[in-house]
Amino acid sequence: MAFTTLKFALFLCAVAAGYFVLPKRVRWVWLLLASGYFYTRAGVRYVEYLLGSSALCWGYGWYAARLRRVGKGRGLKGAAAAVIVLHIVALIMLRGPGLSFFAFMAVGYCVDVCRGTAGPERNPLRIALFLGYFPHLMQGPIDRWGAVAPQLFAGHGFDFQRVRRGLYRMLWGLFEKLVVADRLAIVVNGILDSPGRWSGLYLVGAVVCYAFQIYADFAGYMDLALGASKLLGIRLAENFDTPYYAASVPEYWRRWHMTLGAWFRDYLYYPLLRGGGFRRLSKKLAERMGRKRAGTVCTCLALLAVWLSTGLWHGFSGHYAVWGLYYGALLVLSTLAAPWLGRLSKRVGLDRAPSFRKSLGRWRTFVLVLVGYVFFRARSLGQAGEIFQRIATRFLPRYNEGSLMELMGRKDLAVAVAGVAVIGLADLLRERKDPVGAYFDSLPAAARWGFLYAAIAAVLLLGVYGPGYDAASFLYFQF
Amino acid sequence: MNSIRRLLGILCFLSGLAALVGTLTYVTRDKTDGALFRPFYDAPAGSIDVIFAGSSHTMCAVDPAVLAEQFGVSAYDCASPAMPPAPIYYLTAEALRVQSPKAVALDVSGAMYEIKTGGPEFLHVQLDNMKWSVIKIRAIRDLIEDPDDRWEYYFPLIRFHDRWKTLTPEDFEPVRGNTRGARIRDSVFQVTETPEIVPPSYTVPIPADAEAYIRKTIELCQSKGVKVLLFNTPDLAGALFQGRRNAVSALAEEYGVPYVNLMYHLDEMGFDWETDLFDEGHCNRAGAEKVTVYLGRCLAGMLEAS
Amino acid sequence: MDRRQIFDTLNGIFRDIFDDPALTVGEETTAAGVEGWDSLTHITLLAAVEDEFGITFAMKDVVEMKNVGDMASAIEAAL
Repeated sequence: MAFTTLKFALFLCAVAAGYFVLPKRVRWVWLLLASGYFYTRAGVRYVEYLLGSSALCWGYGWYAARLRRVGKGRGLKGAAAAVIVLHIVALIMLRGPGLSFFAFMAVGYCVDVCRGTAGPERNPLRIALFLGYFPHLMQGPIDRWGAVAPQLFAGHGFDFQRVRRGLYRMLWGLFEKLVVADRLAIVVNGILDSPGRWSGLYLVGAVVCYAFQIYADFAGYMDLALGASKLLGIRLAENFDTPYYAASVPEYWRRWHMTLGAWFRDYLYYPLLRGGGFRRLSKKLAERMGRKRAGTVCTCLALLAVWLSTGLWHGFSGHYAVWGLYYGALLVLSTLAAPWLGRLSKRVGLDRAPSFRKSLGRWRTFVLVLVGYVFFRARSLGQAGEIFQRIATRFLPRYNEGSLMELMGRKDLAVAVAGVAVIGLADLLRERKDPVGAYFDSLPAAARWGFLYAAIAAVLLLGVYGPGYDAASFLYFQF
Repeated sequence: MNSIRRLLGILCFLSGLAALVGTLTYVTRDKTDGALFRPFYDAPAGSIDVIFAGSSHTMCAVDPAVLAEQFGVSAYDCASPAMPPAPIYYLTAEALRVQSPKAVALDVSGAMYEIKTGGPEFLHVQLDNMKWSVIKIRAIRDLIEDPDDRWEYYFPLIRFHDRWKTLTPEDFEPVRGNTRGARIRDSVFQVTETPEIVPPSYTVPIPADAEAYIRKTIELCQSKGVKVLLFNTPDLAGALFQGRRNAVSALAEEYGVPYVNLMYHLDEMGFDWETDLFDEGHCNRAGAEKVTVYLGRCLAGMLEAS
Repeated sequence: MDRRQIFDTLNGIFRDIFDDPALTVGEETTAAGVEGWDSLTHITLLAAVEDEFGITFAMKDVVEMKNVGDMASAIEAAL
């Protein structure tokens, strides 16, 4: 049940109505039932996987509690490893919507229990709700037990302001997804699905459009998910923080798909570096090159391992692996080159013009991100190579090649450009921490209503939906 | 006090939203030929004597202006292109809900159809231009098999919102035809050879849906005490379609209603294949005049006998 | 070891790792306040701190540390 359908809107109304009407203590059960129903729309067997995963997590928690009581804390790690391996194997072998997301949440839960940052939950159904909660089930955010569980079981009441804010957020998500992302998809798919037909200029244009498409799509979905959850009073983790305003690649990855990065950092990167293998390696290297150098080498190796995994999480395929290693390499370079770059920018005098420096950084980052997108969007390494080759050798369009007009008319293009500009402006205000929300609330009702009606009309008229268009699906759905 | 104000505010906002959606739906809706029947809603209650229910055959062949002029009969064409008997049934039901005619003339050329509806494009203009009522909802649920497909009939905006790119000033005007549902064409079709007309006894079984809904239409009218006249307009259809239309005679006999199959009254009408057709299936202005006058005479007899 | 001594030692480690002889950290100092302190250098920093104090942090502390004050408390607990 996609978040942009009427069906989902009705579903959400029914869930919210039930939630507010039922007694506080059973509200979470209602959410569990609703989430179960939601997932069965995708397929009944996925619900079985979810229940299986919940059972494993609950079992681990029970086992962990027992071990701790007896004082045998050491067995915990081994058992956790077993649960993790089971989940990874399942992830690789099974395919389906939402699996990668709740598998990660399940692994996170078990590791948190092992570390003692999450008390083992006695009720397996509560774990099932944590994993299968419908707003974050299909595409994340990847939430942590500690942050979300207390909210899930608190049973919030109706709060007009909160519900209103949630609806505003959902409207914004609909705009991003239906008006901008799905419209850009027409151009992007038309060009990047058959790169051989287009000259390099168009290919570059398509990749730029893709950068905005995937952002509007994924962030739009997040706005819908978090907005829907806000209606129920449950605050999920944010996934985006105006990423295209990042001034360096490391900063970009602190702003893009933040919960994925945080997950890999806390559950792969840190354990890897602090695990026995890396410690021993570090000691050996320290004898040869000093402690600081050894630390850097280990950090870089771990980074490459983590980024390869991140790439493969998106898909078990060559171009995703290369994508991952590309960013791993960039981050490694960034770590190694940081002191040197700092000295260089001091010498050139850049640190006396901080806003210019930031601007330079932003453009540089955006170009690097665009290169990454070629690998990400391509269907295979071969196709990615073809795209780069055509950009390098066949840049200018020839008279007999495709034109943009055959993909999309002028009015649609205008809407796409305007839409991207609107999103860019919204992000700019957010980046500058302008209190837009408060300002909006302070406007007189007529102005607020006028703006809302205009926004709704824009989504209804300009949205790419309905029988006239091919089914445009959410991009991150496939992961 | 505050929560009452809040509630009122929410209700106000939602009403405004409904008005917005309604307006957008209206502006983007298909208001072409198929919507010509729409103004019958504007006719004063009780002002229509006869309703002609049918498809484009009716729109081209029956001219209410002629009936008014020559017979003093107030008629309306409640018809739309590519309308098989099933949607005709619902449009007739709707017409009977809003008006109380003395007779319904049902165009049974649709007996030829194997399909239940004319497809989404035509069904939309037929359903979208009906006002919201229980009948319309029943029509949507009956005529569209897949529940997922029904959403765009409850909210036509789903299909038509994209028309924002092609709107014209006409789209902002209400459909205000003054032809009383008729669409009379002037050009003449070049007939290359005289059509082969099968004898009235040559019948082919009517497809299930067509027969079922013709029956339902007749039964509905009779249950409301409305007289029924079945008719078929002249066209160049082949033996199969002619056979199906001929089979309607048995239905007419069963229900005790008159059936005027104009294919067998061509000489009485003075119908001329070379001058009276607009295309293979439809009459032009000359043909419409003849058809309307003939049907008018049949109807005058029926109406007097009441 | 009291808290002040811990902070003195920490200052030394921070200055070495981040190449800034003028750097001073306090209870409320966070990663955002120190140039070059991100999740990548965090681990190197922690390893250096562990070596210097002869302790091992629990993963729980590593993940939950929000500022240098938390780090100092974790050091105190481990000593």
